[in-house]
Amino acid sequence: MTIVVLGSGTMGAGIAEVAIIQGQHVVLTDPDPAARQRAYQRIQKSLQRGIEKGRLAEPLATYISRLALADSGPTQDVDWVIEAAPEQLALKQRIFEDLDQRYGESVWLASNTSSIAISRLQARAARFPERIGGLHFFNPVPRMALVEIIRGLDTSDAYLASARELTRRLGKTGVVVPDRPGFLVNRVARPYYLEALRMADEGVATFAVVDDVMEGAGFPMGPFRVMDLVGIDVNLSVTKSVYEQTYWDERYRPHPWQEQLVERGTWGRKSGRGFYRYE
Amino acid sequence: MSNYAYFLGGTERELKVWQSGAAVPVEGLSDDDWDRAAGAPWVIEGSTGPLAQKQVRLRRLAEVGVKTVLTASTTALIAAQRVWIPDGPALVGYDPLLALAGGTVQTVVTENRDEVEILSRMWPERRFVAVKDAIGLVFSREILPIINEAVAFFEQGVRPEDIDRGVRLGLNYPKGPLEWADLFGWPSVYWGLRALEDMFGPRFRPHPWIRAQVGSSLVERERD
Repeated sequence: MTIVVLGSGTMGAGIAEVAIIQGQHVVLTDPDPAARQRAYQRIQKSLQRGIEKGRLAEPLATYISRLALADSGPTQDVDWVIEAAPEQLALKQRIFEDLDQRYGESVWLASNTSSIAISRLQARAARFPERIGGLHFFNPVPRMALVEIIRGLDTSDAYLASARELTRRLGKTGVVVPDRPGFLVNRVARPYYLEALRMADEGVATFAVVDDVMEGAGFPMGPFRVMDLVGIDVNLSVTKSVYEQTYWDERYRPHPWQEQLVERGTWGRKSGRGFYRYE
Repeated sequence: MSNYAYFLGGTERELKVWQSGAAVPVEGLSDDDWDRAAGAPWVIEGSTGPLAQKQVRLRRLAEVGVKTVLTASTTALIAAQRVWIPDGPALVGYDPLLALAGGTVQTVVTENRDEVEILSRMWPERRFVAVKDAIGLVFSREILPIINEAVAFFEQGVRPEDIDRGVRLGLNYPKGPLEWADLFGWPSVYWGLRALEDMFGPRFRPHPWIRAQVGSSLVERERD
């Protein structure tokens, strides 16, 4: 199977790495040659680490032989095109308009979007919108087992069957979800953060108590520790996206603290301070 | 320290949760067996359903001279429960869903540090922390809206096992939302969301599917 991955950032490189590990051929594309090279080095380094730790059995050269870099994808002998471009609606719509024109009906097209409605990408594909869906991989791709398979308004049953088969071949668990804002995982997770913020604001409990209670019930990290790890700015961005796409459903209204912390530059671990201090 | 405790108002599973790891005997108490609780140092009252039922139980416990009630306070504030029995026993709030979840850090509502100390000695494997008297406390307020969100996906045709698998794998939660609901029972999910909705507004309104599940049979607690 040959997979074209569009975009060589963290997610694109992760998807490419997983695919070549699982024996698939990948063409990783990016218009920026420096970005392609960075992705190549990242993949190589990660594979080398996997070999040294005994997680990967084949020689590095075998894996790398399945990876090609290009500024744009080939159009012949391609089974899947997975788009992993920056999370911008206009950019992704342009990409899918182009992909729909370039690739024949038998090529499946997927967006690795975490927040953009697949139906809005299909709307720009005049020819075969039914062969478009979402494949939402989670970061870090090599370690996270889940892939949300997103069914847009026009996505066909054949697409879903093929997407299930692809995720299985990539060693992942695919779950078919509707094209709702936030899809399944990001939607279901919103109250975990927002209610934690509200209850801390109301003085019900401190950040540490909320985190300790949830961790004591088996959650790997409490909500404030997760926000600090993922980035308060990233968490706010996802929340805003769901809030706006649901036409301001109050369930998803961001908490004022999020905007204030982002403005102040206290984004969590990556800035040394979030809800907790890390200096 | 108390040398025994009774439990009433919840399921057999909840009783077992309180018996597990307890340094004192914990026995179940039924609604027709009040005399046995006369003068008891501690009774755990786990009702989360209709408040009228909980009021009756608390008044009975007050009548038979129970000293302290560890009472579920996620659907009725401790301040409100004190109004029901102004001259009754001392009341300490707790989160029944957190207890069912086996949480090692249990939230309680009390201004008396001695009561926290006593609970820590009665259940030495658990840490008890005092939080503000609030509907849902911490855990119920977190987990119930997560379940409510998940039900919307179920109603839209996503298989329950896919919802749970997706949430476990995508978020590393220890259980999927529908597994949590199965553990708590849909009546507890419903009554918890209703109380949260009443206190905090429509963002907690129970999904129509949940309402349909519990229906008029809600006056009966589910039995294990």
